[in-house]
Amino acid sequence: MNKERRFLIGLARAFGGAIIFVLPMLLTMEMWWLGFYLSRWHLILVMILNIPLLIGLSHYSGFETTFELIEDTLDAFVAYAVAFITAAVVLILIGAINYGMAPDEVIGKIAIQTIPGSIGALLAQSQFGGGGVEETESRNHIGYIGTMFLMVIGALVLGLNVAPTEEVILIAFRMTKWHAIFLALLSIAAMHAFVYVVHFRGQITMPEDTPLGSTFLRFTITGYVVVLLVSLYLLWTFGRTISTPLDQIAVMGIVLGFPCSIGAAAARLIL
Amino acid sequence: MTNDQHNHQSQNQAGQHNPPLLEWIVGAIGLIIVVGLISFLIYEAFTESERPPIIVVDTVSVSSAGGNYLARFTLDNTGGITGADVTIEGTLSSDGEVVETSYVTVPYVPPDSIREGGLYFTQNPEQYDLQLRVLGYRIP
Repeated sequence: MNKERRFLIGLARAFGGAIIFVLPMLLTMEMWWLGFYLSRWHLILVMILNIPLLIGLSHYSGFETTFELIEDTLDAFVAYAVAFITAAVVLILIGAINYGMAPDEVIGKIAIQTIPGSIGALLAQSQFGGGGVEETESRNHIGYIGTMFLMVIGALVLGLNVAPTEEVILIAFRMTKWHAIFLALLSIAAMHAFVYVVHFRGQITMPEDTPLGSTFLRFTITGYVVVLLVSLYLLWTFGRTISTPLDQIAVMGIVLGFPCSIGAAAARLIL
Repeated sequence: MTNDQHNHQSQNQAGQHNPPLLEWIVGAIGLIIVVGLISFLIYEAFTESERPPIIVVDTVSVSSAGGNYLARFTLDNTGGITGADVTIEGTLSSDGEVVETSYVTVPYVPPDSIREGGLYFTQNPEQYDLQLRVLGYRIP
């Protein structure tokens, strides 16, 4: 199979991945609204931060163990192109982009969707790709930073679906502090169980002499802190923290942290 | 490492190290899209004003609709920010006396964008003085 043909198949897979990840968000009206009323600076920041994120994702989910910066950067921009086209086509088809809308509104609506879309496009390469020997080999060599990075990706994938909805705020308002504490504990327990206890495919096996406390502290607790940071960043990006008292922000962070933690734990097994 | 494995890897790596021309083209398109989007957003960020929404309602047409009468309108926000829950009131009056009132709320009216809507009346607006006005908005 020649290189062009292989690239075209990869490109088709990227569109498949983009549509799977972004479709729930394309069909969420809060995402359309955020496209025009979200602070332009928040949108610019998330689009810029997404570039190193995609490069890292290309590095960790790729077939190679060596870091090919130029190639990973190329992958990142291909993913952005795929995400842009996917978002624009679907938004026009469903009438979320219409005649009479200002350029700012149209561009904003598409721009916000390129974030989940491009992550999906890149993930498709590792998930739908014919995984060879190299894939399983590189998985074991991602290291501590790599593990945390994959958890960020997993948290984003699930968190982005939930973060724009009004329900996060509503749930946070209805919860007592006790609800929040137990939800945080459940999230941590679920994260640990997902990776180490329940025997899913891709289960991470610990060396016999590893003390339970060590993995719990080094991966699960640290992972949950990373998850909370992702959750708070998403809330801030979507303007949910404006003139909101700190304790409410904390509860919202834990609420959004619940799906984020499941996503993060799943990412360690799947990606 | 066996010979077979070695061949497989070098083949794979050769493909990975020299991306095809097409990949460079699509990547370049992606780069243009990202730079374009970010530049546009930065331009918008610098030119966006904090002026409150200035929402103007214009009557487009009046027609009969299923036993009622329909007054269609457009909303145009010439202010700087989005108005949420924009409420429109339509009144029919005769000699200064209000005969009928209708309301509708439009979820969002972004700046420079046009939104459409309509108000139903039981009496023919053409025989009265039809007045549409924007009652208010909320910051999203």
